[in-house]
Amino acid sequence: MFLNYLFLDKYRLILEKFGVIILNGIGITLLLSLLGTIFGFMIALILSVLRIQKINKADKMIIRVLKKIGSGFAKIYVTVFRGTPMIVQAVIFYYFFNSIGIRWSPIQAGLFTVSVNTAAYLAEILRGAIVNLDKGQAEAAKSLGMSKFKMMIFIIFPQAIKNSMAPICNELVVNIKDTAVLTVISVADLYSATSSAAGYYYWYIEAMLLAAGIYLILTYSTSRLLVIIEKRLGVPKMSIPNNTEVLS
Amino acid sequence: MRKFFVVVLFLIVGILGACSSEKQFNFDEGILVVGMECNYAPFNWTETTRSETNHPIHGTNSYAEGYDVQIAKRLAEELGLTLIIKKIDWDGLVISLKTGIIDVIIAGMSPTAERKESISFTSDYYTVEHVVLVKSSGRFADALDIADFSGAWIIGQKDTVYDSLAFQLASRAQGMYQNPLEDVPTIVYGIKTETSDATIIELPVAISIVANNPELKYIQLITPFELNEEDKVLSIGVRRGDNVLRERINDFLNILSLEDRKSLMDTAIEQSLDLI
Repeated sequence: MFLNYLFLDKYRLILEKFGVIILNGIGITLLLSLLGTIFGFMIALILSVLRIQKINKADKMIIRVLKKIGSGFAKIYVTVFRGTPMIVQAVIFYYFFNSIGIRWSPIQAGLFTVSVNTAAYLAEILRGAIVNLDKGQAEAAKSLGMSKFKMMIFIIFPQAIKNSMAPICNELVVNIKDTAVLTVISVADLYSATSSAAGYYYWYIEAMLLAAGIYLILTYSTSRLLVIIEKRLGVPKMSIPNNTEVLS
Repeated sequence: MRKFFVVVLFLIVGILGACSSEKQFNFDEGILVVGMECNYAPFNWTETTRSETNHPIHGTNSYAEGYDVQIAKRLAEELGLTLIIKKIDWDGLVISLKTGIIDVIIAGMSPTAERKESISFTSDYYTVEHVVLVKSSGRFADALDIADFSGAWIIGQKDTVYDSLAFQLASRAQGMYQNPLEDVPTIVYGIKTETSDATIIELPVAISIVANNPELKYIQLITPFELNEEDKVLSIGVRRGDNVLRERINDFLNILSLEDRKSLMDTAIEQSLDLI
């Protein structure tokens, strides 16, 4: 029964008519996921800094207030944008901004949504990585007389980011699939393109199998590519030590 | 501290919300942005190559064709404006109009009382008759009237008159009402795969679908459906405050005779016949 849906003729016809539109869709899907992850990462850096602020006894009143607001804002941001579906966020952002006069196109609103959403997830990942760093690093930095700022930039963050590379890359791959929901705000991505083909020919299952196939190629090649990049950057591989290592 | 922050946040959102007033249409901008599904032949559908009569869909390499497109073109010409057509899903049409993403809705939409709570409508630009679409080899192929649909699984498009008619038919015929789906092609696919037994659509749409899908047929019931007057016509949607625009569109529709409308629809049906 399933083999009925593998007759190549229909796929050929779909690609003939909608090939260009599907190619455009692939471009937009990749663009939104890549830029969305990058921007999300940048926002996440700021969020994680805000999140880890602790009030020292020596801080003046104004610093305490700012730290509290910053930390509180970061916590609410992460809770809200991880706790609501991206499809809901997309609709709210797109129509709300247009209603107050900010004339955003679907792609602009889509990119904004993916970035804001990704930032929430990456902020938590970064925070986890920072907290789990060896305390010795911070102590060594302090004993070398580094200011907190320098310590953050040169010691803490580079290591935290390196340790987070795997989850960050995973987030990119996840975004490639998740951008499909942006169809509801008229973004002409890959899903929207194959969906148009489906509605045109009424070959829904074939068109969706085609979509699944293309998404699979995109996510798989992106994962392999990222593994190669991680190896180049010398990201430490997480491995469980076997008995002989522990003994020595 | 956190509670204070949340209260401030809500205040800001509330103030922003109150500030936003609906966009007012400005003839001097020289553009008319029309919204439609582009997925509802013969009123509006998507084509992938340019023809003499179709019109580009904004932001894509596709083209829109159909009765609504022809009306939009003539309207824009009459008003002296450049036409831009945007493809928007059915549920997004009203909110896109209200937030200024489009200026008018020409999408085979009826001026129902519920919609009039949010937007305004012009006088009608087409009158409709509803029929039932079934599979020719299905159980209900020989149905003639309401009672023949006993036990049928009936479905309609979400947020349209079709959905209420599906409910009406299911109640009267003792059939089963199915939850609505997003758009007509999805529902037609459901009929073809026997996930649904019957759906209710307008006559021109049925003609187009049956021509493209010979395994389907449509039935005109002996007993007419119970409908409000407003559900039997299609109008053009405009924002509440755009009275000038509405008046000018009504002027245009007044000179669009019944013969013109029939001729445009016949052409649209014909063009939608060799889609596949």
